[in-house]
Amino acid sequence: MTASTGAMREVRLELFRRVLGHCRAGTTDLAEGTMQVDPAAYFDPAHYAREHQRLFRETPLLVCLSPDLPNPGDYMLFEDTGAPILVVRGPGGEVRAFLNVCAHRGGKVVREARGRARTFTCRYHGWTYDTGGKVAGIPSHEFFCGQTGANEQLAECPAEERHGMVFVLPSPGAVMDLDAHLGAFGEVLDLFDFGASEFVVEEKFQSTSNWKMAMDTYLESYHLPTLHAASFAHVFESNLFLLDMFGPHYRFTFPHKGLAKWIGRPEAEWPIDALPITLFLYPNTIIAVGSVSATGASFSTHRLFPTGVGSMYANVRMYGLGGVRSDDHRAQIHASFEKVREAARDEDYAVTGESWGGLSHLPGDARFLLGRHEVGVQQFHSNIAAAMGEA
Amino acid sequence: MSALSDLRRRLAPAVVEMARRGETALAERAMFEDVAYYRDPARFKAEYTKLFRETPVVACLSHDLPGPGSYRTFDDTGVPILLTRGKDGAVRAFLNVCPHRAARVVPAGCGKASRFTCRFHAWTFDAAGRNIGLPEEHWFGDDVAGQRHLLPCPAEERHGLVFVLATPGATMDLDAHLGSFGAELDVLDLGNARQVHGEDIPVHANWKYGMDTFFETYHLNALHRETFKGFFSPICVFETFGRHHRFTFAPLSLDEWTRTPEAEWDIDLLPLQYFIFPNTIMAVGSTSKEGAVINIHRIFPESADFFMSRMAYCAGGGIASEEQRAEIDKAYAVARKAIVDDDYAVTSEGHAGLCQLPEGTKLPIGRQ
Repeated sequence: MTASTGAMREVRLELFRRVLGHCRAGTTDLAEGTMQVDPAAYFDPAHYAREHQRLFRETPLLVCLSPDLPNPGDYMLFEDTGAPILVVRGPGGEVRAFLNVCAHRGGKVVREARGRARTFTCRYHGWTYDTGGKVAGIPSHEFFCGQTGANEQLAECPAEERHGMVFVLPSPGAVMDLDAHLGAFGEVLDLFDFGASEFVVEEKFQSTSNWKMAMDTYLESYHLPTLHAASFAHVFESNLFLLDMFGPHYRFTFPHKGLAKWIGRPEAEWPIDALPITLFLYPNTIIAVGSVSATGASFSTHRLFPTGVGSMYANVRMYGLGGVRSDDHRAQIHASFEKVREAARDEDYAVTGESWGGLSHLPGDARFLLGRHEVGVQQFHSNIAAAMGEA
Repeated sequence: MSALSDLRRRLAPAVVEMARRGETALAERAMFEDVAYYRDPARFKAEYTKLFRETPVVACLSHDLPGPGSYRTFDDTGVPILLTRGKDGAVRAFLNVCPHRAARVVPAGCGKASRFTCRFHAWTFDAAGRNIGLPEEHWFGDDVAGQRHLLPCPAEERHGLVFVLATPGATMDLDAHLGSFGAELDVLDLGNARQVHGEDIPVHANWKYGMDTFFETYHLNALHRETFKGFFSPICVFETFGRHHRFTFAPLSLDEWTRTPEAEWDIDLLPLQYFIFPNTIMAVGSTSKEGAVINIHRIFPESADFFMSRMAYCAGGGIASEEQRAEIDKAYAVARKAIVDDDYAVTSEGHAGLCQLPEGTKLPIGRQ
């Protein structure tokens, strides 16, 4: 990866200026005030049911990146929201999503998590579908007396490919307005050219916690010196947090330690490409872009999915940004994934997993208090409340 | 120990008298228990709240919090609780949940500590639950004043035991709970007891089905035939104190006692069993010249069909010699076999069986 140019260089320069400004003044980006959160939002089953419907059925979700489905016929199951969905790239290159439920008697049509195929055959009675979800074969067709017309198509969910990413709305027959959902954040995503990346490694982290409790840990750097004392604390500044909001989505930065030494030196010398940039794609996805080095750049996607009010998992994937350039680059990506993996398993998901059970024992009037520096967490909860019509 | 011998001396004649007359303590009538009592999840939920959250439970022995600065976690009621003994010697209990973002503050375990730091954002608390460290406090403004400390749960140390009410902010009336049973517990001198052995036994059965076994002597000869290698008369002398009880039953030497004068009875062989409602059994074994042993069982359900039995085998006055240790080890092996291999084995088999009985089946409980 060569040094950033054009618009990306401008963005990084501006972030670097703000970092140095904060270093000079000993400040950080802040919310206007503190905020209280009702712990019931994390353990009330009725609240969870409403939230799951609103955020995981009626909000566009990131399924994968475009390069995860490179060729016509490439498919992937997307079952993380509880709805069984088949995402497939058709012969014309378009990505579509279908309910993976046979139109005959509800058999699960595709059972492999991913692959490449021209047709899909339900193993129950052998009904076969093409990549457009249309029936291509019905055994003993004559016994249906010519009445299969309404049953010759898999139910379709809205799917769209944008900014090198595949989005799906997991509600068959609904309409997805991705422009309204992404708004100005689309331009932020475009800067990174995620469409040109290459998948390297992935893992699933389970936690006995509410998914928002886990999401919260991504959205503030207050816990870096404590929870990550053994992993990241010596690397990153805590409480120097830059946050830019684009609707409910964010771009945020917590810089490496020691950047203050660049104060007063020419901008051309600043190591702007070392600045890590994290994107939060509402409601459930973190994209963490690490430092760009001479070997190459990488980023990880963290997609969080609840499986109940007190259980969740995170699918974490790591990619080479702009592709994997060499064996050294691949090795470097594996090494940084190992660090992410250890911190996630032993620190972030461990603390949320061991803590969630205690919440419901707090007195009914107990509220969590989010400090002004926990602005990312504050905004996350405000945006969810707004989406659910509570704000 | 002499108070214990005095008590035994007082109770023994009734046991022997019953043996001579061929009687035992009886309820006024037989009773029938519906199988739903043991297996209905809705009933379990209501019962769990009432008995394990709104009733004081024994969290540990006094000695399990050995001196100022000691702490231990207590999670058995499903509520994460931190127990501390402060510089003032007082035992306190707190919800082990950080008031900032609800992380568990102290990992499961015990030890010595004067401060507890939440690993999430390093909010720090002293043994009285007071916040003594709040990083970046200025970003919380004045709003943090009301929610910076750990939430207390009622806790009190009595009769060598630490009682906790597992509901933050509630009040506990231990006098009302224990009533006259408190004085009875003093006989055991638990403040000087030391745990020697212990085991946590997971059992797939309803907790009450597990408790029931501790409440009758009817099963001794059948179930424990191999373990105790002797014949128990099913005699039992039962005394209730509110919802708690104490009973004594026949020592293996009862037959001999019926034929000899009272002065010749080896009175310290008389078994005693204490029950602190709702879930604690203290079985006082034979006391030799080396002292009494007390086997404390606390049963904590997790669901209608699973409980954890925490067994603590204690030496009444601690261990003074190698001989005593050897004797206690031997007695523990027998007790453990009776509880784990006999009682809890039949409990889990029995529970599985009663789950298969038709709705509405009633199990008979005899007058004995």
